[in-house]
Amino acid sequence: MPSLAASELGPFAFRVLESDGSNAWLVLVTDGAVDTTARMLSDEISTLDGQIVTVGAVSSGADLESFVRAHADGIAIVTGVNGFGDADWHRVDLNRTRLQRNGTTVLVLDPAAIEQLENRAPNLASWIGGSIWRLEKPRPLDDVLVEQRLVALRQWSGLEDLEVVRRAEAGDLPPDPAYAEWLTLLGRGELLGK
Amino acid sequence: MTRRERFKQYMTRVAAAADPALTIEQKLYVHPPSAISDVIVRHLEIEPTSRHLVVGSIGSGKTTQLLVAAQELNSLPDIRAVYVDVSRKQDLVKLKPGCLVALAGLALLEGQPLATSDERRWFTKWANGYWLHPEEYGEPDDDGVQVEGVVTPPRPEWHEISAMQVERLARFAEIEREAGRHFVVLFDSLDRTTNRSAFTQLIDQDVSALRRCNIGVVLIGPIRSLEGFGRLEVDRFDKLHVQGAVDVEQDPGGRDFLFRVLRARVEASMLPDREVLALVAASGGVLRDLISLAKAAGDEAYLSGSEIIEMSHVQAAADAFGRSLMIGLHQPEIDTLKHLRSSGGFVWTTDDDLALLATRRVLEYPRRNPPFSVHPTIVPLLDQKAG
Repeated sequence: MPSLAASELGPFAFRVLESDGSNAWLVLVTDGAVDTTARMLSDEISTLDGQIVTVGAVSSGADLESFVRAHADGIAIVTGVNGFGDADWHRVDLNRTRLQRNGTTVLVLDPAAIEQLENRAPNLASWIGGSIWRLEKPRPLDDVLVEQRLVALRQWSGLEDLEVVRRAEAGDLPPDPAYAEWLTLLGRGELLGK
Repeated sequence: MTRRERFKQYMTRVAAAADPALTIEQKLYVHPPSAISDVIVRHLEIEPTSRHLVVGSIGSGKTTQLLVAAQELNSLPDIRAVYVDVSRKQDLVKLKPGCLVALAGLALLEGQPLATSDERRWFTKWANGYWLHPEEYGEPDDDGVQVEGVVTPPRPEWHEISAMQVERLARFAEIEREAGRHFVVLFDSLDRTTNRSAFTQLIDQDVSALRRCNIGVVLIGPIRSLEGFGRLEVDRFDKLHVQGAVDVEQDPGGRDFLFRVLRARVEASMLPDREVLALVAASGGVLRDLISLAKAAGDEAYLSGSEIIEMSHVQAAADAFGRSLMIGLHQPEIDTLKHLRSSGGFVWTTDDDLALLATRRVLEYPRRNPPFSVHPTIVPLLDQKAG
């Protein structure tokens, strides 16, 4: 099997925020602990955009349906599907319509579960399409990459670093994840959420 | 509009998993050439009690066609059509004979004030269930013991469904016809059923009963209905409609249709023509895959800081899509795909072959010869493996 597209947690959180649309589904595959990953992802999204994220662990296909019914809007991160058996995937696939949400749903699961999903729940997989990423450990950015990214952000906004910091300190920065990334790259992450 | 707002708007317009009803509501729907909705409507307007089975791969636009057909049928003065998403009303794990009759009756009664309140009440109770207390009697007609006559009539085909309720539904449909309208019901979501015997039983019983009631039926069924014993299910219908992938390789009309699908959602200033055509080619002609790829390409463009979607973003989206389609494939399936890729040969004989079709790793183009092809996003990955 070819390797999946990889993403660090920060850029993946960014993708989740920008996937904002009716019933968007994304998958994050991790070899690590899914609950910890889900919590970290939730924190990352909240830091970037201030959005409240619902995190839920489900234990069966029926449980996933109930979770969706109870949380129809906003960003939801779901764990627990690693424990799904064939019957759960089958149920989820048959009743896919009941999983329709108004917000974005992220499934955090392990490599075995993504295989199950693709093979046992093709209708759900069709909603997800290519939006599947393997969680990659963060690599330290070297100075060249940081500067390249800062140049791109300056070009995009027409602002300079000092102006962005000034606005962040004054609490005037628009709630755009790009500014959160900018402040982080400048080493001024403490200004996030001001 | 800021760059972020532009991309957000783009993402909303290419939401691949959005409810198809929204596509029609937001006027993003593009009518395909030779649309099956047209064919279904043409049949039903002259034969409103006919029965139609629609099959096709996941994401090929079957639901949208059903919704459009319902809309067009309702524009005719003598037809009342109702779209029923079975999975919203019925747990598909628990399919049993009678559920389509019940759902058709409930839908019919919703817009019909003329049925007597008793009839309406008994039918609704039968469909939705009710609490029965020990001191209560059941339905009066259920009481007593039947004494067999000398003449034994043949069992109706729908013998597993309450004959009394089928007769009630027939009366409701009759009232509708007396008011000048034939009733047609369009059932969605049954293509997801994998329980062969439950589905066959449902078709045997319910479709026959609905015919007895003179109700027109359009039903989306599983793709396996086309092969082997599944043919028996097809035989229960007057007409079979196959919604295949659009042939974007050999049919310029198909290519143009999918081009217009994306153009209706996104302007050229955001997604240039060349990139649209690349997305159309990568989709293999599967509508939902096209929208999904367009969304992923937008995602890549936004994250890279670009103002528009460029070819590199389309390529990244197609690569990620192909990798997701390859997940869970084992060597025998990869061998089948390689064989199809190299020789064009694909014989649909086993459940594994069917799974390759159902999961869109293999696409079927009904009007092309040979009709099968590997999903275009998988091809480079297969070739890498071959290399």
